[in-house]
Amino acid sequence: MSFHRCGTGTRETGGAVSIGRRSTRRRSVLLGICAVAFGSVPACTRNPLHAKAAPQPASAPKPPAYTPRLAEFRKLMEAEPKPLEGPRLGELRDLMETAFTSQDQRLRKMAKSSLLEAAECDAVLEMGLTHERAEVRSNAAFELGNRKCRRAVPLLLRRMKDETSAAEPRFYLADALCRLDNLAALPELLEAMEGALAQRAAGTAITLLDRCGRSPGSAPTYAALRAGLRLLYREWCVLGRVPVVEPVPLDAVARARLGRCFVDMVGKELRPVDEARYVLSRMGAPAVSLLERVLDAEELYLRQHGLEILRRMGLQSSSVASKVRPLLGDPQLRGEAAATLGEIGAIDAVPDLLALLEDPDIEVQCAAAGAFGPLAAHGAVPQLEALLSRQETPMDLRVRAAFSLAMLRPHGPGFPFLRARLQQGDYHAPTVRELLDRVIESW
Amino acid sequence: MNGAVRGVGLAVIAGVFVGGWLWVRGEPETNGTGAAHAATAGVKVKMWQSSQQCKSCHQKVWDEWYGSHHQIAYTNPEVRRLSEDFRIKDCQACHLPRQVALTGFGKRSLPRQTRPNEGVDCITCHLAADGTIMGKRDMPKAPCAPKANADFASVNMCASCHNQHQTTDQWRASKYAKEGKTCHDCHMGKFGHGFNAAHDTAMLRAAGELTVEFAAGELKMTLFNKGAGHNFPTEERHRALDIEYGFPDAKGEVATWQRAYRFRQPYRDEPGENTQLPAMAKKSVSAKVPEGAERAKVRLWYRLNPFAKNGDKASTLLEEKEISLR
Repeated sequence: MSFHRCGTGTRETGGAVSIGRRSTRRRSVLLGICAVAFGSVPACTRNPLHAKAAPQPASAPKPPAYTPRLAEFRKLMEAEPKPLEGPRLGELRDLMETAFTSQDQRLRKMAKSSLLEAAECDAVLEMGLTHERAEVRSNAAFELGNRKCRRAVPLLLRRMKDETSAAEPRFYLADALCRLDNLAALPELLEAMEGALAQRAAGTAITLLDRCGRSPGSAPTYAALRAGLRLLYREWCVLGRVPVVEPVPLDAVARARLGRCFVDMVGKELRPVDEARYVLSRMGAPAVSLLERVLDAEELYLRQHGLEILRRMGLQSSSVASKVRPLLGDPQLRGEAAATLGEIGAIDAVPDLLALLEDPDIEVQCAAAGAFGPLAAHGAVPQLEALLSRQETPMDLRVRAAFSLAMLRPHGPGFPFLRARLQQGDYHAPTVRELLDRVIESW
Repeated sequence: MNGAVRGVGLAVIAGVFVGGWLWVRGEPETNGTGAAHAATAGVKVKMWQSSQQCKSCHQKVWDEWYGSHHQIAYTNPEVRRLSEDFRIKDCQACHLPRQVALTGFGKRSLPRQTRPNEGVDCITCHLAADGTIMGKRDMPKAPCAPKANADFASVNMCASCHNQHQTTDQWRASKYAKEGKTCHDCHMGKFGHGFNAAHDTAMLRAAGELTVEFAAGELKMTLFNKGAGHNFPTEERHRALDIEYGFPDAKGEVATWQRAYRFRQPYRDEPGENTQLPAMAKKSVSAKVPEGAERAKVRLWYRLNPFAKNGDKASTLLEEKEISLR
């Protein structure tokens, strides 16, 4: 009130206003203006509930102290065996072709016996995985699994990526991976049980289920085997290893091969990057300790792809959540970190993710909004509903909020909102379909 | 209580009410980027979030860009098929990129999740890492207040995506790099923000010059990369350029077209070498002329994928020449 008095006094000492009815009315108008100005003072100050303009949320975690990591992976690669060359290579290659393709059964048996006794057998079999003839690739994969050649796991996974059309090599790759305690290819094994290779695939399934203490009995049905494999795959997706079976640590060669994957990820060529991510995201628990190391890597692309791989691995990599959280403060990758925390089930990160809904970057807001669904963070439902219901919320953000809401509340407004986008065609349909598929899968 | 005091009292109450309402409503604050003044459908926003925000002031530029291959980079059915519906996630980093400046000019961009219908948009190139808008000049009075950036509109800016297939490296090795002629001189000069290129027949025709000669009983066909500042074809390994020839019958019809040469970089797991034609380079191939042939026809085809056949939508006839063999 002193402000108004002071103002009035100044006016009066100016001597321009005489005392009377007219001057009283003018004074009251002036006082009114001042009062409105006074009352509006709070509007000029910052409401902490709406403190959105800061470049990053005040609560953003501090990013980790970055360390160069690429050299470490280059060092790991030194343990990679040198490729076979010279006349010995040709000799062994011929032996492998004879062993796996000859029509003469006696010759075939002798060649196979010689091949399996050769010191370089594993190396030749690994070469066989990319042979032009499908039967060589199939046999090479089978033998690598049979010989428990664990160092071949990254190569078997790599081959699985390209083996898209030939059913038999796909099955034998899956079979070998199962024998080597990698269950990432169980979907391929299940696929084989639907076709001409069903009996052989059933044999692999029975052996695997027996090893895991899930014996399907003496005369299991295909349905029982399929159900057993699906259950086992779900466990793999959570554990990243074969249940019950004691995990075997990676040997130096396998680690070297994974090291190469990391080195490839920072390269210029995109295909090797894609291959590296494919392999690492299917390695299961053995890759997690290596992935953990890239989260504070100075090299941006190592961090970025590391997060992407962890997202693909999902709950298998939940143990690294505490290493991912600091990346919410990474100026380039905080959105990716938010999405990753959602996929790996980092429920402790919910307060941080809620704070990111106020981030000035829409990309980060969307990543945070989309993380609550996979995270089953029911506490975020009010915020998500508020985002969805506000017409002024950007559509990208509404879509991501609807996605999470649909996962959290199947009968809530999220699913109808996404469905309406498909019906009205006002948002990119493949993206909406992809989100809806995930929602339905989660139900 | 006289009227003046009553008026003041009511005004104070009204002022407190209005002020309180504004405070609770939380008027967005400017972040110093000018973005607080930009509007999408009448709603104030805090940061540059969509190219829609640029449209109201830059309608002409928007019209050039909208429908371009930059705009449809993520929705183009051809791209979606080749990228397995973007299950090959690496394609997304360039087909739906975050702003180039976030990682730095010349470095691979990061993928985004938002604005799928906007592909490579205004924000991709114009948004600086600090959230301000970049341009060629400082324009502090403009609503978006662009700040000049020396690297903006440089070849390095395009390299973040276009060197994935070595196109900018090819340019660096060409005479155009020495002359200081950049991507923008050809791809923006005439077309503005449409960035016309391999989907523009006139542009393709300006790149290559086909000549046909008959000498010493042979048909000699030469392609000269006279107009492209990089290999022809360039970019993805799907692209192919074919020289075909045939000998017309009396009615002028060619029964069988034969491929004389294919300019293309093979897929990684495909045998063969890169036969793309570098800038200002020439490649000649010869074909035997059958006895009795009186005329020869030669065609130059551009293919968006190597499996496309003549007459397919993915094949464009760039040139056809006919020569007498007498």
